[in-house]
Amino acid sequence: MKQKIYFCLIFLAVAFRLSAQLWEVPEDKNLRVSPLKFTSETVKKGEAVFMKNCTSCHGMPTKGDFVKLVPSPGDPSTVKFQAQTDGALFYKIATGRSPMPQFKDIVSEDDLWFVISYFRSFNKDYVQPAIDNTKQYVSSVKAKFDITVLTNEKKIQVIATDTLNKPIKGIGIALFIKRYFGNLPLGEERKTNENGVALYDIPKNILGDKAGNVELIAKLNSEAGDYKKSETLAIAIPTSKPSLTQQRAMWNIGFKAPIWLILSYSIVVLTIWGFLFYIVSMLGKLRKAGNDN
Amino acid sequence: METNNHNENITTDLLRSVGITKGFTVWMTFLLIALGACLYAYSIQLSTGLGVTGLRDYVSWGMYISTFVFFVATSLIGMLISAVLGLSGAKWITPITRIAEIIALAFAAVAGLVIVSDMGRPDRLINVFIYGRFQSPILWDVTVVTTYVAISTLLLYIPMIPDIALCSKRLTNAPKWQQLTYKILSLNWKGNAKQVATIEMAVRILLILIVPVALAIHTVTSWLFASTTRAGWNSTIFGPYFVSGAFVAGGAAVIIAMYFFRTNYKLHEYITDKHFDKMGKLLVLVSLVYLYFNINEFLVPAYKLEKAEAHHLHELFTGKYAIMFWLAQIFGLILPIILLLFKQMRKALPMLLIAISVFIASWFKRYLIVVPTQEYPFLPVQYVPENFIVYSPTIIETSVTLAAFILVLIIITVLSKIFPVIPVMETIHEHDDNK
Repeated sequence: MKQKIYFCLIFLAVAFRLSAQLWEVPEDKNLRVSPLKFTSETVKKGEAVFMKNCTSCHGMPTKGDFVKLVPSPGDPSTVKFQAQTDGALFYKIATGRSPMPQFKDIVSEDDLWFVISYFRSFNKDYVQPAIDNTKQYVSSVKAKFDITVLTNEKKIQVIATDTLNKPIKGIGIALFIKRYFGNLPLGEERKTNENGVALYDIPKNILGDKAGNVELIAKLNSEAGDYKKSETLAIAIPTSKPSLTQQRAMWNIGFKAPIWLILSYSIVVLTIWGFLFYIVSMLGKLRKAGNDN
Repeated sequence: METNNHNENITTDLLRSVGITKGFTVWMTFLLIALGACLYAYSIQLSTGLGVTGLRDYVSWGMYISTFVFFVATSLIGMLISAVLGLSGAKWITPITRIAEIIALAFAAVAGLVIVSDMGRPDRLINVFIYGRFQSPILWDVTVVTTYVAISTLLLYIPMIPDIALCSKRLTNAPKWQQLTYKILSLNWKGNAKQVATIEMAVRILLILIVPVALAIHTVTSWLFASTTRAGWNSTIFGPYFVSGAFVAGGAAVIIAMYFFRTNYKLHEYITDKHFDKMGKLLVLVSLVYLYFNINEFLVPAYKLEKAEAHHLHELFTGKYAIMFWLAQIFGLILPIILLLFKQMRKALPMLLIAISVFIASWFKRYLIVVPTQEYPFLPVQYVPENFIVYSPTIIETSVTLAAFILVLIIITVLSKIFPVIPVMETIHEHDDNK
């Protein structure tokens, strides 16, 4: 009994701590503003991103039908969300905290701003601060990534070059493996050396397709721009899991039904209807027989 | 000479009901107006969507599917009377075989339409045939209902060919279209030995064929439910449970029809108290079998009280569905069994009242099989509005369901007006045999 009470107390304390815990946003991030102007179009794009990634926990904005988790996900249309700056929202969505996922590796930076623009569409009093047009995107100078495997060194190499094929030095590149939900980071972000090269260890325990292929995504440090490049490389453990719909099965489409089932069905139907057609043919004979006397 | 006179009388008596009378016109006008009103309700459903019904994410099978099950059930009686009793040599069934077949055909044919009324997009019905999966009981059901309608049509039509020829010969005053129908349908019937043999052969094959098909139609209908794991549906005896229940509903329908045909068409000499007595005994027999399956169906899960089953049974026995459940069991099963054991109760009028009570209770019984378990799913949807959880049929839905019943009545009325409801030639032959 005592144990139970202790357990309850600990549980309550943890729950309280989690819910009371402040979600600190660094001052500079708090003041960050969107580089894009919020329009009805960005709201629409944001809604699509929200529906795909967020609604499973946050529910539908204004409906308050978010999942009851600790800390509570909350409804993005409420004051709790709307009182925060765009920068704070951006930071929180991008970095996440348990159980909120870190979305910066899952969706693009633009998508994050679209989602914030969607949130703001529920706030009539919201006025967008002047947009941030100071940022110099590397993408505007057209960076290029080249992702290859260095088999001997067991490394993955990303070379960043500009349009003139000159290496770009000192930019941060993060490498990810594409998974079903979001992207799995491969270690820390690396800075390119004077040859524009960043090296990453090949992970040992990643499952790939039959040939061991996985899709790698090299992403420019978000501060520097929004460029990314993906490449499919055979660096993973080959796994051969035939799709559940490959073989004949009860759950498959009609043509891939188990043979015994197709046979039983067809034999029964053909037999019964065979008899019925035979009987209809007898009616023809019956008609003819009316002529003999 | 005397025999000929008698046969002549039989023919006149039994053909008297054929033809369009004033009563028929009034009755049909009433039915058609009512049908029109109900079809208007359906047009609303068609243009607005299934949202106008009480069907939601929780209860997606409501009144329509209950009615479908009920119709399929009622149609099984054709097989019981014509095939099971017929093949086992019961002679007393002669005057009611055609009634049973008409009922079978009308209910089976409309059952298919009831399914369509449950579809939000009936224009996509064709996809069931294009993309139908052999693995799905729904495809089996579509197949077997179609097959049963075909067999019932043939089983109604083929034994009737001599009577149609008789109509063609006798009813010279009938309108042109009617005479033409008789002429075409009588298939040049002369009654020669070869033709008689052909008909006997065809009927024999059909009678044998209809037994497995009829068992299949209702067993497959039960599998639509039993192949899921829901409480109240997850049962291995659902096939026989449905089939035995079907005979109860169908038996009641035949008794009601017998009463009305006998009174309206003045057939007291042909549908006698003896026939009511026999049908009463038959109803007791099938009700007892159904009671046996009911006890199995409720006692075994009630003994184990597994969580979901417990909830389901509590809802039925003492919960929200208790009144409906007990009324259906008492008036549909227990009282009829007790009452029909008494000879005085197996007379026409008491039988009619009992049969109506059984018939209505049978419909509610299907509703209780289909609806309650869906309100308590294993994985409830979160934060849904109240009307998603509790099913209550709307007026539109009720009207569309009524349309199905009206359609059945129309089919029965028209068939019984164009053709003699009691087999004329068979009655004459039987009379001759008895001599």
